[in-house]
Amino acid sequence: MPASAISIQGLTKYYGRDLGVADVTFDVYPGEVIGFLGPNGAGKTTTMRSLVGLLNITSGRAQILGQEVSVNASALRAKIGYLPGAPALYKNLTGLKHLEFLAKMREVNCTEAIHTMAERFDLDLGRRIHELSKGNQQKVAVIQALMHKPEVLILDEPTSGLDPIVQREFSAIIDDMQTRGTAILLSSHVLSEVEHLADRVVIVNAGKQVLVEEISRLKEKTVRTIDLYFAMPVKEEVFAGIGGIKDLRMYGNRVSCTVVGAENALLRCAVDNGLESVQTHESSLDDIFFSLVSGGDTNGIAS
Amino acid sequence: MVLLLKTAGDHWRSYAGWTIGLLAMVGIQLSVYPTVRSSAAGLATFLDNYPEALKQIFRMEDYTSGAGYLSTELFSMMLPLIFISIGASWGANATAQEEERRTADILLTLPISRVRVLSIKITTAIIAQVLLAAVTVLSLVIGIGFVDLTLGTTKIVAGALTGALLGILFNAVATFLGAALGKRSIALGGAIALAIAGFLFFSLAPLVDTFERITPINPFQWTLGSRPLFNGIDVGYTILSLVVASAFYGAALVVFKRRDIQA
Repeated sequence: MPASAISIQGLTKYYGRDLGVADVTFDVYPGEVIGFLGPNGAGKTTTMRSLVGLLNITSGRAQILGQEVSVNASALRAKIGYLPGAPALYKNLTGLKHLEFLAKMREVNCTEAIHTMAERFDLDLGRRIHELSKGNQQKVAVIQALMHKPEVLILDEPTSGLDPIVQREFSAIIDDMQTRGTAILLSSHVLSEVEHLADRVVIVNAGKQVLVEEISRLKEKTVRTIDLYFAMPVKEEVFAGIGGIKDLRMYGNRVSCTVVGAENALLRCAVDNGLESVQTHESSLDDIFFSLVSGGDTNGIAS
Repeated sequence: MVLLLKTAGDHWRSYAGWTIGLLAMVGIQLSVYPTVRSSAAGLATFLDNYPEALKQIFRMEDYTSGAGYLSTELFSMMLPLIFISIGASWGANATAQEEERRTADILLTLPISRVRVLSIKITTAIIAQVLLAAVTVLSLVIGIGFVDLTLGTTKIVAGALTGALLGILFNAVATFLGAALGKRSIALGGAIALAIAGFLFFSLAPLVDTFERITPINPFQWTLGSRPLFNGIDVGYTILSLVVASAFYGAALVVFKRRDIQA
Protein backbone atom coordinates (compact mmCIF):
# COMPACT_ATOMS: atom_id res chain seq x y z
CA MET A 1 0.00 0.00 0.00
CA PRO A 2 1.55 3.36 -0.99
CA ALA A 3 1.70 6.23 1.48
CA SER A 4 -1.60 8.01 1.66
CA ALA A 5 -1.90 11.32 -0.17
CA ILE A 6 -4.57 12.54 2.22
CA SER A 7 -4.63 11.25 5.77
CA ILE A 8 -7.32 12.35 8.19
CA GLN A 9 -7.20 11.03 11.76
CA GLY A 10 -9.95 11.91 14.20
CA LEU A 11 -10.59 15.25 12.55
CA THR A 12 -12.97 17.28 14.69
CA LYS A 13 -14.17 20.79 14.08
CA TYR A 14 -16.39 22.87 16.30
CA TYR A 15 -17.74 26.31 15.39
CA GLY A 16 -17.90 27.73 18.89
CA ARG A 17 -20.16 25.23 20.62
CA ASP A 18 -21.66 23.91 17.40
CA LEU A 19 -20.31 20.68 16.01
CA GLY A 20 -19.11 20.84 12.43
CA VAL A 21 -17.67 17.38 12.18
CA ALA A 22 -16.43 14.86 14.73
CA ASP A 23 -13.77 12.18 14.64
CA VAL A 24 -13.55 11.73 10.87
CA THR A 25 -10.86 9.25 9.93
CA PHE A 26 -9.91 8.04 6.46
CA ASP A 27 -7.09 8.03 3.93
CA VAL A 28 -6.98 8.74 0.22
CA TYR A 29 -4.20 7.06 -1.71
CA PRO A 30 -2.50 8.21 -4.91
CA GLY A 31 -4.60 7.18 -7.89
CA GLU A 32 -7.67 6.67 -5.74
CA VAL A 33 -11.01 8.46 -5.92
CA ILE A 34 -12.98 8.75 -2.70
CA GLY A 35 -16.62 9.71 -2.89
CA PHE A 36 -17.52 11.85 0.08
CA LEU A 37 -21.22 11.58 0.74
CA GLY A 38 -23.68 12.95 3.19
CA PRO A 39 -26.78 15.11 3.35
CA ASN A 40 -26.54 18.90 3.54
CA GLY A 41 -24.88 19.97 6.79
CA ALA A 42 -23.35 16.55 7.36
CA GLY A 43 -19.80 17.91 7.58
CA LYS A 44 -18.41 17.28 4.08
CA THR A 45 -17.60 20.90 3.32
CA THR A 46 -16.20 21.45 6.82
CA THR A 47 -13.84 18.52 6.32
CA MET A 48 -12.76 19.72 2.90
CA ARG A 49 -12.27 23.34 4.01
CA SER A 50 -10.20 22.08 6.94
CA LEU A 51 -8.00 20.13 4.53
CA VAL A 52 -7.18 23.19 2.45
CA GLY A 53 -6.51 25.38 5.47
CA LEU A 54 -9.58 27.62 5.36
CA LEU A 55 -10.64 26.30 8.76
CA ASN A 56 -8.58 25.52 11.82
CA ILE A 57 -9.09 22.00 13.09
CA THR A 58 -10.31 21.76 16.69
CA SER A 59 -8.65 18.38 17.26
CA GLY A 60 -7.28 15.45 15.29
CA ARG A 61 -4.84 15.47 12.41
CA ALA A 62 -5.03 16.22 8.73
CA GLN A 63 -2.08 15.52 6.47
CA ILE A 64 -1.63 15.95 2.75
CA LEU A 65 1.35 14.32 1.03
CA GLY A 66 2.80 13.56 4.45
CA GLN A 67 2.65 17.14 5.73
CA GLU A 68 0.34 18.59 8.33
CA VAL A 69 -2.00 20.90 6.48
CA SER A 70 -1.32 23.71 8.94
CA VAL A 71 2.47 23.57 8.49
CA ASN A 72 4.08 25.28 5.50
CA ALA A 73 0.59 25.37 4.08
CA SER A 74 1.21 27.68 1.15
CA ALA A 75 3.91 25.43 -0.33
CA LEU A 76 1.64 22.43 0.17
CA ARG A 77 -1.24 24.16 -1.59
CA ALA A 78 0.84 24.32 -4.78
CA LYS A 79 0.21 20.59 -5.05
CA ILE A 80 -3.51 20.77 -4.32
CA GLY A 81 -6.42 21.59 -6.56
CA TYR A 82 -9.48 22.76 -4.67
CA LEU A 83 -12.95 23.42 -5.92
CA PRO A 84 -15.19 25.00 -3.29
CA GLY A 85 -18.87 24.19 -3.12
CA ALA A 86 -20.82 26.94 -4.93
CA PRO A 87 -17.57 28.64 -5.96
CA ALA A 88 -17.46 32.43 -6.28
CA LEU A 89 -15.35 34.03 -8.97
CA TYR A 90 -14.26 37.59 -9.74
CA LYS A 91 -17.28 38.77 -11.71
CA ASN A 92 -15.60 41.58 -13.62
CA LEU A 93 -12.93 39.36 -15.22
CA THR A 94 -13.36 37.22 -18.30
CA GLY A 95 -13.01 33.47 -17.83
CA LEU A 96 -9.58 33.58 -19.46
CA LYS A 97 -8.34 36.55 -17.40
CA HIS A 98 -9.60 34.87 -14.26
CA LEU A 99 -7.80 31.62 -14.99
CA GLU A 100 -4.64 33.46 -16.09
CA PHE A 101 -4.69 35.45 -12.85
CA LEU A 102 -4.87 32.24 -10.80
CA ALA A 103 -2.17 30.59 -12.93
CA LYS A 104 0.14 33.59 -12.39
CA MET A 105 -0.55 33.45 -8.68
CA ARG A 106 0.48 29.78 -8.80
CA GLU A 107 3.51 30.73 -10.91
CA VAL A 108 2.64 27.94 -13.31
CA ASN A 109 2.07 28.16 -17.05
CA CYS A 110 -1.37 26.66 -17.53
CA THR A 111 -2.20 28.17 -20.91
CA GLU A 112 -2.44 24.88 -22.76
CA ALA A 113 -4.42 23.15 -20.00
CA ILE A 114 -6.84 26.07 -19.79
CA HIS A 115 -7.60 26.08 -23.50
CA THR A 116 -7.77 22.29 -23.75
CA MET A 117 -10.25 21.97 -20.91
CA ALA A 118 -12.27 24.96 -22.08
CA GLU A 119 -12.63 23.23 -25.43
CA ARG A 120 -13.65 19.97 -23.82
CA PHE A 121 -16.20 21.79 -21.67
CA ASP A 122 -17.39 23.96 -24.57
CA LEU A 123 -16.65 27.10 -22.57
CA ASP A 124 -16.32 30.58 -24.07
CA LEU A 125 -13.35 32.03 -22.18
CA GLY A 126 -13.80 35.50 -23.63
CA ARG A 127 -16.96 36.33 -21.70
CA ARG A 128 -16.97 38.04 -18.35
CA ILE A 129 -17.87 35.88 -15.36
CA HIS A 130 -21.03 37.87 -14.61
CA GLU A 131 -22.22 37.20 -18.15
CA LEU A 132 -21.85 33.44 -17.76
CA SER A 133 -24.58 31.05 -16.65
CA LYS A 134 -24.17 29.18 -13.36
CA GLY A 135 -23.08 26.09 -15.27
CA ASN A 136 -20.45 27.97 -17.24
CA GLN A 137 -19.14 29.65 -14.09
CA GLN A 138 -18.85 26.17 -12.60
CA LYS A 139 -16.78 25.12 -15.62
CA VAL A 140 -14.34 27.98 -14.96
CA ALA A 141 -14.15 26.95 -11.32
CA VAL A 142 -13.53 23.32 -12.24
CA ILE A 143 -10.75 24.31 -14.66
CA GLN A 144 -9.00 26.41 -12.00
CA ALA A 145 -8.91 23.37 -9.73
CA LEU A 146 -7.48 21.06 -12.40
CA MET A 147 -5.32 23.27 -14.65
CA HIS A 148 -2.06 23.02 -12.71
CA LYS A 149 -2.18 19.20 -12.65
CA PRO A 150 -2.25 18.84 -8.87
CA GLU A 151 -1.21 15.73 -6.98
CA VAL A 152 -4.23 16.02 -4.73
CA LEU A 153 -7.70 17.12 -5.80
CA ILE A 154 -10.38 18.18 -3.37
CA LEU A 155 -13.65 18.80 -5.16
CA ASP A 156 -16.80 19.92 -3.40
CA GLU A 157 -19.74 19.03 -5.63
CA PRO A 158 -17.82 19.49 -8.88
CA THR A 159 -20.64 18.68 -11.28
CA SER A 160 -23.22 20.93 -9.67
CA GLY A 161 -24.85 22.90 -12.47
CA LEU A 162 -23.07 21.04 -15.27
CA ASP A 163 -25.10 19.52 -18.06
CA PRO A 164 -24.85 15.73 -18.69
CA ILE A 165 -22.46 16.13 -21.63
CA VAL A 166 -20.03 18.22 -19.61
CA GLN A 167 -20.45 15.85 -16.67
CA ARG A 168 -19.28 13.06 -18.93
CA GLU A 169 -16.25 15.11 -20.01
CA PHE A 170 -15.54 15.86 -16.39
CA SER A 171 -15.69 12.16 -15.55
CA ALA A 172 -13.24 11.43 -18.37
CA ILE A 173 -10.81 14.05 -17.04
CA ILE A 174 -11.10 12.62 -13.53
CA ASP A 175 -10.40 9.15 -14.93
CA ASP A 176 -7.27 10.53 -16.66
CA MET A 177 -6.06 12.21 -13.50
CA GLN A 178 -6.70 9.09 -11.47
CA THR A 179 -4.65 7.10 -13.96
CA ARG A 180 -1.82 9.60 -13.55
CA GLY A 181 -1.87 8.98 -9.81
CA THR A 182 -3.80 11.96 -8.53
CA ALA A 183 -5.53 11.38 -5.21
CA ILE A 184 -9.08 12.67 -5.47
CA LEU A 185 -11.60 13.43 -2.77
CA LEU A 186 -14.92 14.47 -4.20
CA SER A 187 -18.27 15.16 -2.67
CA SER A 188 -21.39 14.93 -4.73
CA HIS A 189 -25.12 14.60 -4.47
CA VAL A 190 -25.14 12.71 -7.76
CA LEU A 191 -24.73 9.24 -6.34
CA SER A 192 -24.62 7.51 -9.70
CA GLU A 193 -21.63 9.72 -10.54
CA VAL A 194 -19.86 8.73 -7.33
CA GLU A 195 -20.69 5.11 -7.99
CA HIS A 196 -19.06 5.44 -11.40
CA LEU A 197 -16.01 7.48 -10.40
CA ALA A 198 -15.11 6.46 -6.88
CA ASP A 199 -13.19 3.49 -5.59
CA ARG A 200 -14.38 3.98 -2.05
CA VAL A 201 -16.99 6.05 -0.31
CA VAL A 202 -16.95 7.88 2.98
CA ILE A 203 -20.40 8.64 4.30
CA VAL A 204 -20.96 11.25 6.99
CA ASN A 205 -24.19 12.22 8.66
CA ALA A 206 -24.89 14.90 11.26
CA GLY A 207 -21.16 15.53 11.67
CA LYS A 208 -20.31 11.89 12.31
CA GLN A 209 -18.59 9.44 10.03
CA VAL A 210 -20.97 6.60 9.29
CA LEU A 211 -19.09 4.43 6.85
CA VAL A 212 -15.85 4.02 4.91
CA GLU A 213 -15.99 1.22 2.38
CA GLU A 214 -14.93 0.17 -1.10
CA ILE A 215 -17.86 0.49 -3.44
CA SER A 216 -17.46 -3.06 -4.74
CA ARG A 217 -17.37 -4.54 -1.22
CA LEU A 218 -20.20 -2.32 -0.13
CA LYS A 219 -22.36 -3.78 -2.85
CA GLU A 220 -21.34 -7.30 -1.91
CA LYS A 221 -22.34 -6.63 1.64
CA THR A 222 -25.60 -4.98 0.83
CA VAL A 223 -28.94 -6.69 1.04
CA ARG A 224 -30.34 -7.71 -2.33
CA THR A 225 -33.87 -8.81 -3.10
CA ILE A 226 -34.22 -11.99 -5.17
CA ASP A 227 -37.35 -13.28 -6.85
CA LEU A 228 -37.27 -16.96 -7.79
CA TYR A 229 -39.81 -18.33 -10.30
CA PHE A 230 -40.60 -22.06 -10.22
CA ALA A 231 -42.56 -24.40 -12.50
CA MET A 232 -44.86 -25.21 -9.57
CA PRO A 233 -45.34 -24.02 -6.00
CA VAL A 234 -42.57 -25.01 -3.57
CA LYS A 235 -42.64 -25.40 0.20
CA GLU A 236 -40.98 -22.94 2.54
CA GLU A 237 -39.13 -25.74 4.35
CA VAL A 238 -37.07 -26.35 1.21
CA PHE A 239 -35.07 -23.21 2.00
CA ALA A 240 -34.61 -23.88 5.68
CA GLY A 241 -31.03 -23.84 6.81
CA ILE A 242 -29.68 -21.78 3.91
CA GLY A 243 -27.49 -19.01 5.35
CA GLY A 244 -27.83 -15.33 4.49
CA ILE A 245 -31.50 -15.30 3.49
CA LYS A 246 -34.16 -13.25 5.22
CA ASP A 247 -37.77 -12.22 4.74
CA LEU A 248 -38.71 -15.39 2.85
CA ARG A 249 -42.14 -14.95 1.28
CA MET A 250 -44.06 -17.49 -0.76
CA TYR A 251 -46.37 -16.32 -3.59
CA GLY A 252 -47.40 -19.57 -5.25
CA ASN A 253 -44.84 -20.22 -7.98
CA ARG A 254 -42.78 -17.20 -6.92
CA VAL A 255 -40.54 -17.02 -3.90
CA SER A 256 -39.15 -13.69 -2.78
CA CYS A 257 -36.41 -13.15 -0.21
CA THR A 258 -33.56 -10.86 0.71
CA VAL A 259 -30.01 -12.13 0.57
CA VAL A 260 -26.81 -10.93 2.20
CA GLY A 261 -23.55 -12.07 0.62
CA ALA A 262 -23.26 -14.88 -1.96
CA GLU A 263 -26.46 -16.46 -3.15
CA ASN A 264 -24.90 -19.70 -4.49
CA ALA A 265 -26.48 -22.00 -1.88
CA LEU A 266 -29.91 -20.47 -2.45
CA LEU A 267 -29.68 -20.84 -6.24
CA ARG A 268 -28.41 -24.43 -6.02
CA CYS A 269 -31.36 -25.31 -3.80
CA ALA A 270 -33.77 -23.50 -6.13
CA VAL A 271 -32.42 -25.33 -9.20
CA ASP A 272 -32.88 -28.66 -7.42
CA ASN A 273 -36.52 -27.70 -6.86
CA GLY A 274 -37.41 -26.73 -10.42
CA LEU A 275 -36.24 -23.11 -10.78
CA GLU A 276 -37.33 -21.56 -14.09
CA SER A 277 -36.04 -18.01 -13.79
CA VAL A 278 -34.51 -15.59 -11.32
CA GLN A 279 -34.64 -11.83 -10.90
CA THR A 280 -32.17 -9.93 -8.68
CA HIS A 281 -32.69 -6.39 -7.44
CA GLU A 282 -29.28 -4.90 -6.64
CA SER A 283 -29.05 -2.11 -4.12
CA SER A 284 -27.71 1.02 -5.70
CA LEU A 285 -25.51 3.50 -3.90
CA ASP A 286 -28.66 5.57 -3.57
CA ASP A 287 -30.36 2.80 -1.57
CA ILE A 288 -27.33 2.39 0.65
CA PHE A 289 -26.92 6.10 1.17
CA PHE A 290 -30.56 6.66 2.02
CA SER A 291 -30.67 3.70 4.39
CA LEU A 292 -27.58 5.01 6.19
CA VAL A 293 -28.52 8.63 6.49
CA SER A 294 -32.16 8.08 7.27
CA GLY A 295 -31.59 5.30 9.77
CA GLY A 296 -28.36 6.69 11.10
CA ASP A 297 -26.95 3.18 11.26
CA THR A 298 -25.93 0.52 8.81
CA ASN A 299 -29.41 -0.74 8.06
CA GLY A 300 -29.39 -2.51 4.76
CA ILE A 301 -25.73 -3.36 5.01
CA ALA A 302 -24.43 -6.58 6.47
CA SER A 303 -21.95 -6.04 9.24
CA MET B 1 2.90 42.00 -8.17
CA VAL B 2 0.05 40.03 -9.78
CA LEU B 3 -2.19 40.44 -6.73
CA LEU B 4 -1.12 44.05 -6.28
CA LEU B 5 -2.18 44.90 -9.83
CA LYS B 6 -5.39 42.91 -9.42
CA THR B 7 -6.23 44.77 -6.19
CA ALA B 8 -5.49 48.13 -7.82
CA GLY B 9 -7.58 47.10 -10.83
CA ASP B 10 -10.52 46.21 -8.57
CA HIS B 11 -10.58 49.76 -7.22
CA TRP B 12 -9.58 51.84 -10.19
CA ARG B 13 -13.06 53.13 -11.04
CA SER B 14 -13.85 54.42 -7.55
CA TYR B 15 -10.28 55.67 -7.17
CA ALA B 16 -10.51 57.57 -10.42
CA GLY B 17 -13.83 59.03 -9.25
CA TRP B 18 -12.38 60.23 -5.96
CA THR B 19 -9.34 61.67 -7.75
CA ILE B 20 -11.51 63.61 -10.17
CA GLY B 21 -13.53 64.85 -7.19
CA LEU B 22 -10.35 65.96 -5.46
CA LEU B 23 -9.12 67.79 -8.55
CA ALA B 24 -12.48 69.46 -8.97
CA MET B 25 -12.45 70.55 -5.36
CA VAL B 26 -8.94 71.95 -5.65
CA GLY B 27 -9.92 73.74 -8.86
CA ILE B 28 -13.06 75.26 -7.38
CA GLN B 29 -11.38 76.43 -4.19
CA LEU B 30 -8.43 77.92 -6.06
CA SER B 31 -10.75 79.70 -8.49
CA VAL B 32 -12.46 81.41 -5.57
CA TYR B 33 -9.20 82.52 -3.95
CA PRO B 34 -8.62 85.68 -6.07
CA THR B 35 -11.98 86.99 -4.89
CA VAL B 36 -11.10 86.19 -1.29
CA ARG B 37 -7.75 87.91 -1.60
CA SER B 38 -9.19 91.00 -3.24
CA SER B 39 -11.75 91.24 -0.47
CA ALA B 40 -9.18 90.60 2.24
CA ALA B 41 -9.85 93.71 4.27
CA GLY B 42 -13.61 93.30 4.22
CA LEU B 43 -13.39 89.58 4.91
CA ALA B 44 -11.01 90.14 7.81
CA THR B 45 -13.49 92.51 9.40
CA PHE B 46 -16.32 90.08 8.71
CA LEU B 47 -14.41 87.17 10.18
CA ASP B 48 -13.38 89.17 13.20
CA ASN B 49 -17.08 89.38 14.00
CA TYR B 50 -17.49 85.60 13.71
CA PRO B 51 -18.24 83.93 17.04
CA GLU B 52 -14.98 82.83 18.62
CA ALA B 53 -16.34 79.32 19.01
CA LEU B 54 -16.90 78.95 15.27
CA LYS B 55 -13.46 80.29 14.47
CA GLN B 56 -11.98 77.74 16.84
CA ILE B 57 -14.05 74.84 15.50
CA PHE B 58 -13.05 75.58 11.91
CA ARG B 59 -9.54 76.63 12.95
CA MET B 60 -9.92 79.80 10.89
CA GLU B 61 -6.63 81.54 11.18
CA ASP B 62 -5.28 84.17 8.84
CA TYR B 63 -8.02 83.18 6.40
CA THR B 64 -6.99 85.42 3.55
CA SER B 65 -3.40 84.17 3.41
CA GLY B 66 -2.61 81.24 1.10
CA ALA B 67 -1.93 78.84 3.95
CA GLY B 68 -4.93 80.03 5.96
CA TYR B 69 -7.31 79.83 3.01
CA LEU B 70 -6.25 76.37 1.84
CA SER B 71 -6.06 75.12 5.39
CA THR B 72 -9.65 76.17 6.08
CA GLU B 73 -11.19 75.30 2.75
CA LEU B 74 -9.34 72.12 1.80
CA PHE B 75 -7.03 70.65 4.38
CA SER B 76 -9.15 70.92 7.50
CA MET B 77 -11.98 68.72 6.25
CA MET B 78 -12.56 68.07 2.55
CA LEU B 79 -9.22 66.54 1.62
CA PRO B 80 -9.00 64.43 4.80
CA LEU B 81 -12.53 63.24 4.03
CA ILE B 82 -11.41 61.93 0.64
CA PHE B 83 -8.25 60.32 2.00
CA ILE B 84 -10.17 58.69 4.87
CA SER B 85 -13.00 57.49 2.62
CA ILE B 86 -10.60 55.80 0.25
CA GLY B 87 -8.53 54.37 3.10
CA ALA B 88 -11.50 52.96 5.00
CA SER B 89 -13.09 51.56 1.86
CA TRP B 90 -9.93 49.79 0.69
CA GLY B 91 -9.31 48.48 4.20
CA ALA B 92 -12.82 47.04 4.48
CA ASN B 93 -12.48 45.46 1.06
CA ALA B 94 -9.03 43.97 1.72
CA THR B 95 -10.20 40.69 3.18
CA ALA B 96 -13.78 41.14 4.38
CA GLN B 97 -15.15 41.69 0.89
CA GLU B 98 -13.28 38.62 -0.38
CA GLU B 99 -14.86 36.61 2.42
CA GLU B 100 -18.35 37.98 1.97
CA ARG B 101 -18.24 37.39 -1.77
CA ARG B 102 -16.64 33.97 -1.08
CA THR B 103 -13.81 34.65 -3.54
CA ALA B 104 -11.54 34.07 -0.53
CA ASP B 105 -12.17 30.33 -0.85
CA ILE B 106 -10.15 30.25 -4.06
CA LEU B 107 -7.73 33.10 -3.33
CA LEU B 108 -6.67 31.73 0.05
CA THR B 109 -6.17 28.19 -1.20
CA LEU B 110 -3.55 29.34 -3.70
CA PRO B 111 0.09 28.75 -2.81
CA ILE B 112 0.42 32.10 -1.08
CA SER B 113 0.11 32.68 2.63
CA ARG B 114 -2.70 34.71 4.14
CA VAL B 115 -0.10 37.06 5.61
CA ARG B 116 1.31 37.72 2.16
CA VAL B 117 -2.14 38.25 0.64
CA LEU B 118 -3.04 40.80 3.29
CA SER B 119 0.41 42.44 3.17
CA ILE B 120 0.02 43.00 -0.55
CA LYS B 121 -3.44 44.48 -0.06
CA ILE B 122 -2.09 46.81 2.65
CA THR B 123 0.81 47.84 0.41
CA THR B 124 -1.59 48.62 -2.43
CA ALA B 125 -3.71 50.79 -0.14
CA ILE B 126 -0.67 52.71 1.10
CA ILE B 127 0.54 53.26 -2.45
CA ALA B 128 -2.93 54.55 -3.35
CA GLN B 129 -2.78 57.07 -0.49
CA VAL B 130 0.70 58.26 -1.46
CA LEU B 131 -0.32 58.62 -5.10
CA LEU B 132 -3.36 60.63 -4.10
CA ALA B 133 -1.12 62.85 -2.00
CA ALA B 134 1.12 63.30 -5.05
CA VAL B 135 -1.89 64.28 -7.16
CA THR B 136 -2.88 66.77 -4.47
CA VAL B 137 0.59 68.29 -4.40
CA LEU B 138 0.87 68.43 -8.17
CA SER B 139 -2.55 70.00 -8.66
CA LEU B 140 -1.91 72.63 -5.99
CA VAL B 141 1.62 73.45 -7.10
CA ILE B 142 0.34 74.00 -10.61
CA GLY B 143 -2.93 75.63 -9.54
CA ILE B 144 -1.60 78.23 -7.11
CA GLY B 145 0.53 79.72 -9.88
CA PHE B 146 -2.61 80.60 -11.82
CA VAL B 147 -4.30 82.37 -8.91
CA ASP B 148 -1.24 83.96 -7.39
CA LEU B 149 -1.56 82.12 -4.09
CA THR B 150 1.61 82.11 -2.06
CA LEU B 151 2.48 78.85 -0.35
CA GLY B 152 5.76 76.92 -0.29
CA THR B 153 5.85 73.50 -1.95
CA THR B 154 7.17 71.88 1.23
CA LYS B 155 4.10 73.11 3.11
CA ILE B 156 1.83 71.72 0.40
CA VAL B 157 3.69 68.41 0.58
CA ALA B 158 3.30 68.44 4.35
CA GLY B 159 -0.43 69.05 4.05
CA ALA B 160 -0.91 66.32 1.45
CA LEU B 161 1.17 63.81 3.39
CA THR B 162 -0.85 64.59 6.48
CA GLY B 163 -4.00 63.74 4.55
CA ALA B 164 -2.41 60.50 3.34
CA LEU B 165 -1.40 59.71 6.90
CA LEU B 166 -5.01 60.03 8.03
CA GLY B 167 -6.07 57.82 5.13
CA ILE B 168 -3.49 55.21 6.11
CA LEU B 169 -4.54 55.33 9.77
CA PHE B 170 -8.19 54.66 9.00
CA ASN B 171 -7.22 52.14 6.34
CA ALA B 172 -5.36 50.29 9.09
CA VAL B 173 -8.41 50.40 11.37
CA ALA B 174 -10.75 49.11 8.64
CA THR B 175 -8.24 46.47 7.59
CA PHE B 176 -7.99 45.24 11.16
CA LEU B 177 -11.76 45.12 11.68
CA GLY B 178 -12.26 43.33 8.36
CA ALA B 179 -9.49 40.85 9.07
CA ALA B 180 -10.80 40.16 12.56
CA LEU B 181 -14.52 39.94 11.83
CA GLY B 182 -14.83 39.19 8.12
CA LYS B 183 -17.69 41.68 7.78
CA ARG B 184 -17.20 44.50 5.29
CA SER B 185 -20.03 46.64 6.64
CA ILE B 186 -18.68 46.49 10.19
CA ALA B 187 -15.14 47.23 9.03
CA LEU B 188 -16.20 50.20 6.93
CA GLY B 189 -18.79 51.47 9.40
CA GLY B 190 -16.43 51.05 12.34
CA ALA B 191 -13.60 52.96 10.69
CA ILE B 192 -15.87 55.74 9.46
CA ALA B 193 -17.57 56.03 12.87
CA LEU B 194 -14.18 56.33 14.53
CA ALA B 195 -13.15 58.97 12.01
CA ILE B 196 -16.30 61.02 12.55
CA ALA B 197 -15.97 60.76 16.33
CA GLY B 198 -12.29 61.69 16.13
CA PHE B 199 -13.02 64.66 13.91
CA LEU B 200 -15.82 65.91 16.15
CA PHE B 201 -13.68 65.55 19.27
CA PHE B 202 -10.83 67.33 17.50
CA SER B 203 -13.03 70.16 16.25
CA LEU B 204 -14.83 70.70 19.54
CA ALA B 205 -11.74 70.21 21.71
CA PRO B 206 -11.06 73.99 21.99
CA LEU B 207 -14.55 74.39 23.43
CA VAL B 208 -15.03 71.26 25.54
CA ASP B 209 -12.57 70.43 28.30
CA THR B 210 -13.32 66.70 28.20
CA PHE B 211 -12.50 66.54 24.51
CA GLU B 212 -9.43 68.67 25.06
CA ARG B 213 -8.12 66.13 27.56
CA ILE B 214 -8.30 63.26 25.04
CA THR B 215 -6.78 65.30 22.23
CA PRO B 216 -3.32 63.73 22.64
CA ILE B 217 -4.78 60.35 21.61
CA ASN B 218 -6.78 61.75 18.70
CA PRO B 219 -5.36 60.95 15.23
CA PHE B 220 -6.70 64.26 13.92
CA GLN B 221 -4.55 66.08 16.48
CA TRP B 222 -1.50 64.07 15.31
CA THR B 223 -2.13 65.19 11.74
CA LEU B 224 -4.28 68.31 11.32
CA GLY B 225 -3.47 69.54 14.81
CA SER B 226 0.10 70.29 13.83
CA ARG B 227 -1.20 72.76 11.18
CA PRO B 228 1.01 71.40 8.41
CA LEU B 229 0.38 74.25 5.97
CA PHE B 230 1.82 76.66 8.54
CA ASN B 231 4.36 74.52 10.36
CA GLY B 232 5.24 71.68 8.03
CA ILE B 233 5.27 68.05 9.17
CA ASP B 234 5.43 67.34 12.87
CA VAL B 235 7.94 64.51 13.00
CA GLY B 236 6.92 63.25 16.43
CA TYR B 237 3.23 63.04 15.62
CA THR B 238 3.99 61.55 12.21
CA ILE B 239 6.04 58.79 13.81
CA LEU B 240 3.28 58.23 16.36
CA SER B 241 0.70 57.96 13.55
CA LEU B 242 2.85 55.47 11.68
CA VAL B 243 3.41 53.40 14.82
CA VAL B 244 -0.33 53.25 15.52
CA ALA B 245 -1.12 52.37 11.90
CA SER B 246 1.57 49.67 11.98
CA ALA B 247 0.08 48.28 15.18
CA PHE B 248 -3.35 47.95 13.55
CA TYR B 249 -1.82 46.40 10.43
CA GLY B 250 0.21 44.00 12.58
CA ALA B 251 -2.86 43.01 14.57
CA ALA B 252 -4.77 42.49 11.33
CA LEU B 253 -2.07 40.15 10.03
CA VAL B 254 -2.03 38.16 13.27
CA VAL B 255 -5.79 37.67 13.52
CA PHE B 256 -6.25 36.99 9.83
CA LYS B 257 -3.54 34.35 9.85
CA ARG B 258 -5.31 32.40 12.60
CA ARG B 259 -8.97 32.88 11.90
CA ASP B 260 -11.45 30.52 10.25
CA ILE B 261 -12.52 31.85 6.87
CA GLN B 262 -16.28 32.03 6.77
CA ALA B 263 -18.09 30.02 4.13
